[in-house]
Amino acid sequence: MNSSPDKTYRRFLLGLASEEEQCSVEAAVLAGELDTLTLQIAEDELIDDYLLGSITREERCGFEEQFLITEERRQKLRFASALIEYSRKKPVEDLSVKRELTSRAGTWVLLSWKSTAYIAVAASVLLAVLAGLELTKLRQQTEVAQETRNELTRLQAGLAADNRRAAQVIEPSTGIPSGTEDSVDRMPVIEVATATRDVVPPRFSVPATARFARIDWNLSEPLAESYREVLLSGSGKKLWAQEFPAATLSPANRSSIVLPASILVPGIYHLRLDRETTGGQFEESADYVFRVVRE
Amino acid sequence: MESREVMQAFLLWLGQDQSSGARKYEEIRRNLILLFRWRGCYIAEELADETIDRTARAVLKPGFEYQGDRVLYFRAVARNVFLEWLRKERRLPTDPISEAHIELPVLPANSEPDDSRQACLERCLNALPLAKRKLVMRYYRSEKREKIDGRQLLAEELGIGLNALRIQMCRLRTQLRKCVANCEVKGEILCSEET
Repeated sequence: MNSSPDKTYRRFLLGLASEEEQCSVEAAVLAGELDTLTLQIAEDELIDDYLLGSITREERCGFEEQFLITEERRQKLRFASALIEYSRKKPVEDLSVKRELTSRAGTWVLLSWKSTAYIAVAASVLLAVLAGLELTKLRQQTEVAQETRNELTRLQAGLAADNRRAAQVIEPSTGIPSGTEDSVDRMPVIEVATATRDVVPPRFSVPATARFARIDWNLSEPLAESYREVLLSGSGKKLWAQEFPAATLSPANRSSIVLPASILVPGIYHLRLDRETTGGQFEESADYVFRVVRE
Repeated sequence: MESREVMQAFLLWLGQDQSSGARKYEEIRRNLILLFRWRGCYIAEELADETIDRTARAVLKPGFEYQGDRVLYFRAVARNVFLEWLRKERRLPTDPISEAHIELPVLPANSEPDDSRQACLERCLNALPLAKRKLVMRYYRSEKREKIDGRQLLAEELGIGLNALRIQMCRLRTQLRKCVANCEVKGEILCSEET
């Protein structure tokens, strides 16, 4: 076959095909290589060409003598004629088919390399901005963490110093450790008499800025082995307690204890002295009541 | 086919067994019908059956020998059947010329039937989605040389090949043709569905 398949089919339909062309078309149809759709398209194209005048004299003869041999093809011819006539009557404007028919496919068609490049650049910029924001956020978090760490270190150092100081002053000996005399001297002192309960408890003022308060207690009688001092709130809640050997008492039988001022909120307190018995148990020996006010 | 035995023997000639022979029979008949349609025969099925009957009678004769492709044998018989039919159609020059041979296309028609067809065509076109309606209108606007350029441009606008456009139009045309035929007979529009 020397010509294109379309032209061969066209001549075959018009009865103008050579013997060779006829054989090739017949063989293709019987082998299932030419389907009904191909035949329909070839017929429609031929009808259009005939109606539009784009057909040779020889083809025109073949069309009228051979092609229009069937009623089906004649109907097709009438229909195409009506369609052409109708289309020519319609105004030219607004017959664009691009947008409507290719709206979905066109979306991707429009994603050419240029569009892809634009998207890539936009994505890069967006990523850079996001990365910058994240970096700034991370830097701020680092600064906050550093400040927190510094504050923690400072607080830990202060607490350690306080603890050392407190350990020195609360040491279970009534003596004041050397080197802490100044601070201890500035402490508010609660002088506890031997007498026990008064109707009106004595008032002791503890400055608001005080960190510690010293309680001096003159015990009325000597203690044998050991004793225990207990600080109770007005409601009877145990706030503090410590056991001491009797040997640590001063010769004047005076006990000095230092407590954190923070536990001495304004109110009534009981300082109780428990004496050790022979069985190793403690029993109440004295109870002194006082009131704390904060300035 | 004349008898069951003849049919079975013919199927065995077509295939290795009855089953494959039957499948081959259906395939050949389908393609023969299409071939006669390509030839422009309006009785394509009748001629296809005539071709098969003649082939069966020939191959089942005692002493028949044929070693080549069976389809080629059918093709030769089909051509004879077609030529006989064609001769029969055009047998005598004095016979009245059939209507098929004298009908010429009439473009600017003002007759009553065409008015009716135009009205049906308009109704069927309006039943199509807008984009497809525009496509049909654009496809049929140009003439002569403009047709080629116009359709090529249309295909480019759609982002498809010219052949894809032809296939799309072929389906649209078939749908519209059925719609118009139904409209002319019953006055109903059937092609409102999306295609």
